[in-house]
This record gives sequence, structure tokens and C-alpha cells, in this order.
Amino acid sequence: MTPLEITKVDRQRYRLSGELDMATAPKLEEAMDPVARVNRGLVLELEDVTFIDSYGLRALVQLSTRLNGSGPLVLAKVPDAVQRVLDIVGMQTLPGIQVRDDG
Amino acid sequence: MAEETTAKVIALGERLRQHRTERGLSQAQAARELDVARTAYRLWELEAAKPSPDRWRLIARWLGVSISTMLLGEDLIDEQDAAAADLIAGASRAGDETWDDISAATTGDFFQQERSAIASQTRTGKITSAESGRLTASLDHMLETIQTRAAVPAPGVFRKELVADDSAPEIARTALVVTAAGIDEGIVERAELLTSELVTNSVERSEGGTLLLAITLHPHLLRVDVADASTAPQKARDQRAQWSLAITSELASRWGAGREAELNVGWFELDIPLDA
Repeated sequence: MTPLEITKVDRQRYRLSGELDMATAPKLEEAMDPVARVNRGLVLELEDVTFIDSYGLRALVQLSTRLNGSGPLVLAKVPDAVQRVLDIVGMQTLPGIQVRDDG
Repeated sequence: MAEETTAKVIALGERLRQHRTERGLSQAQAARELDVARTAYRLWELEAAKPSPDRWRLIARWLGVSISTMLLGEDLIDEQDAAAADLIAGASRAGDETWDDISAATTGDFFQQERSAIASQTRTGKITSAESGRLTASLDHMLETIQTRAAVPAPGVFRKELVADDSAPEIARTALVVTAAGIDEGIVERAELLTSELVTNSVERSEGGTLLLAITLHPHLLRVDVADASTAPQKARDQRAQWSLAITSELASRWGAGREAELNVGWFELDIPLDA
């Protein structure tokens, strides 16, 4: 099992690694909700995310709503396997979420 | 690199896992360093698949052990063969070619490289023709063992009752990866996601109960069935469930969901192309 790990890069930027699903989504919520509440915008680097499903996607969308419109939730360094899932559900069309593959 | 001829024999999967965790790497990072797909690496650690011979040198180098030590852990050579190979590696170290260092960090046909090394060392008198014969016989035996292993048909069926809790999707994905070992990486990746969706839906329906998982691998078809006996009234389809449906209909060759014999059943099939 590859648990989710969350590493702080700076005040508004965090790196996720591992799998984001039903088992690990609560960890994301617990760690990131307090951060989202006090920030205008948040960047999550997904380079080392090796798996995401619909439950993981929902966790990201819920996190974006914690920002309360104060800024976007940016998904950065998105690996191909994750990008394919984001594309299927049209994640980039959701308000409050930006998908970038650079950085 | 004859450093470990007396070292404890450790299976490759365990050795990989130990080395990776000691270095604080994720499976994805280790796979990247070894230039293989993550699923393949994961299977090596689970001992559900073996790396092909063209990866052996790179893996041994990565682990920091001699290739003989690694093959000993793989049951591909015996202690005597390993000692012979390491002795010769030590003997030839002063020369221009070192047994274990020939193309040490490159991939390529291991057997061809070994044979030409044996030939060249025999020619230059670094090893005797008796030693050369012994090593060649050892190589032939290794090759035969691998071919026998490869000829074993893929195990076809996995059936298990799982507790319907938040760990079930991950358990089901691991079972899928192991059962589908050896088929095309892209198909396994799609199947992992589809399996996760089926199981997540089932857990949301029947939280705390049990669910039945069946994975069936046919020669050209992979099928996964998930069933639970929940009688909870159907909840309104939320956004996640809509995404789940979108993912399933996009990726599965065929899929279905419904009630059969008092069970909620969801299933998908993925075609495995002939050349995959």
C-alpha cells in the first residue's frame, strides 16, 4: 500500500505523493482544510501521485470549496495517469480549480 | 563485486522493499530510478512477477549487491555457482574486464553478455576451460529455469470476501495488479481505476458490511465483478457517482450494474489486444 504523504513546499504550495482514494482522502482533508481556510489560493503538486479515483477527485473539489472563492486551487505538475482522469470528468472546467502541467 | 558470497539469501522482493524504504523512496520513485513502470516494480516487491534478465545488472547495481547474490535470492543459481562466479569476478578484477561490471548499469541480453564474457576470459586465460564449462552450464540451467517459469500460465481467478470499509478499494486494486500480472501496463492501469470505482461504489452502498470481489483473467479478457447484499435505498446520485459513471463508461470495454439474486452487482470487462 502506498499511503498519501503531504509535504509543505511553502506557505501556499504543498506536494502530494502516493494514492488518493477513499482510504487517504480524510488525511488530505485533515491536513489541508486548515491551510485552505487561511490562504488565498493554494497550489498542490501532484507529480508523485500514483493513483486517483472519483473519491480522490471529490476530496480535491471539496478542498477547493474551502478556499471560498478567495483564490484558485491549482493542481500543478500533473502526471499523465492523473491527467487522464481529470480530463474524463472535466475537472478543469470546474470553478475554483486550475490544472497546470508545468509548475 | 564478490563482497557477499556468504550473505544471507534474501528473496528479491524483500531486498527491493528493504533497500527502497531504507532510502526513504516511494515505489514510484524507485520505479523511476530503475526505469520501469510503477506496476511492474510493485509486482516485483510483491514477488508476483520477476524482472526480465535484461534488467538484472541494473537492479543488482541499484541494490549494491553482486549479480550472483541477487540471482541466489531468485533461486536461479546455487551457492556453488555463485561462489564460482564471484571467484572469477575477483580473479579478473585486475584485468580490463570485471565480471560484474560488464555493461553493469545498462540493460541488454544478460545471457549473451555473460557468454561473450566467459568466451573472452577463457581466450585470455583468466579462467580455465573447466571453469568456463561450469559457468556455461550454470547459465544454461538459469535460462531453462526462467523459460519454465515463463511458460506457467497466468493464474486466472481471484475471489475474496472483503470488509466494506475504506481500505477495500486499495486491497482490491492490489489483488487486481497481482492477478493481472504480465498483461499490458496500460490495461492494468485502466483496470485498477475501474476496480477502484466499482469497489468504492459498493462500499458507499454497504458500509460496514461485506462485499464480494471476483477478478477473472481470460486470455484476451479481464473481468471484475463486485457484489454486495446491501438493501439500503438507492441514494441520489451525487457528483462523485456521476464521475464514477463517466470514468467507467469511458474506460471499460463493457460494463454493467444492477440487482441479481438479491445482490447489488457491478462489473466491467476490458479486452486485452492480441499484441498486448
